Amino acid sequence: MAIHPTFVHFHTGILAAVAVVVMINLLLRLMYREAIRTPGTRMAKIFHELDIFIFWGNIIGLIGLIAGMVTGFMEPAWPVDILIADPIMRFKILWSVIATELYIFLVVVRAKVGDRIWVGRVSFLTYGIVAIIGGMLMVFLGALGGVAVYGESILDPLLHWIGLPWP
Amino acid sequence: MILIFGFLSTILIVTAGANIVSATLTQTAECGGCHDNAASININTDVTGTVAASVDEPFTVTIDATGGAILLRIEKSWSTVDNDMFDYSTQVVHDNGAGDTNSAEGEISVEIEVTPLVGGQYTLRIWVGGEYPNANSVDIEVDVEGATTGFTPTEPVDPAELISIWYTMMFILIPLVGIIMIILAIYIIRRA
Repeated sequence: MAIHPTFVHFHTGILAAVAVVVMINLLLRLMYREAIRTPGTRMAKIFHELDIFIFWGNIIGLIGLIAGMVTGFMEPAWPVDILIADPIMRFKILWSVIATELYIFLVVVRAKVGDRIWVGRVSFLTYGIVAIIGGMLMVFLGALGGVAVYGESILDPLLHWIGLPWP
Repeated sequence: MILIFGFLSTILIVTAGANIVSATLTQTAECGGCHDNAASININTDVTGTVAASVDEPFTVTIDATGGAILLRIEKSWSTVDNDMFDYSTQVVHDNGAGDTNSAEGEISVEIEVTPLVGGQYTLRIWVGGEYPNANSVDIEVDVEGATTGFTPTEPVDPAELISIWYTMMFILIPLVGIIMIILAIYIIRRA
């Protein structure tokens, strides 16, 4: 009985959405720095709400990502030997683990530093870039899951262009 | 920042290098390596006897797979046959996916245009997979008339080599990313 699909779609969607919101926040941070730092302004409120969405989105997404990885190894029709024989599954296993590391970093750093993560140039750029990379990984992993199940994905041209999966 | 960009660039270079070895998006091994040959999956073609063909002149093979067929696949890298001596209009067809003209569940009907690349006598193999571990294959003998030189098939990819590269990446990349993320986290937390 397929259990993995039950756990993979939600966190993929939320982490991809987080990446988009991070891009918005990065733009806001670069374009309206002073307004964001002024309490009570509309821009500061919007920025704060988006920051909260990113933080909780990353937490929920991380939990879903781990659940997705665990259930990925629980499919009776896909024992580990079969998974490893498939380049798509090899890619998904490797980059799922790396994505988990990225999201642990994002959650821990944001929890520890708070919204001051958006103050320093190094911290907000690192936070933003890692979140965007994580979101892109989620999209690619989801697309490759689609290829594994349906034989094709709407992202096929992009996957072929990049040459995924490696190796 | 320099650290993270440098690291990600390194990943890109390393993995892109690995990609040269992996020429295909899909599974490279023959289905029979992992699946069982199951008589429940029936494959019929419109081919009777040996196909007489000519170099660069495509011919059409009609394939009907029933009995729980989920995926039809032709890989050029299967080293036990001569699939790399031909080009195909499609190499992967899913049940009710693109190319499947049979809307019934578990049945695939497809017309594949096959173009011979070099003269000679060849065996072309098509695999159809169903629910794991069911799979079955059909071989088509093709006698190709035309030049027997001037074409070198791509070296088949060795799946064991790819798995070895993947293991190396698992053992190097995962700890490396972990260490870099820890260093970055410490740096950001201390500076905040």
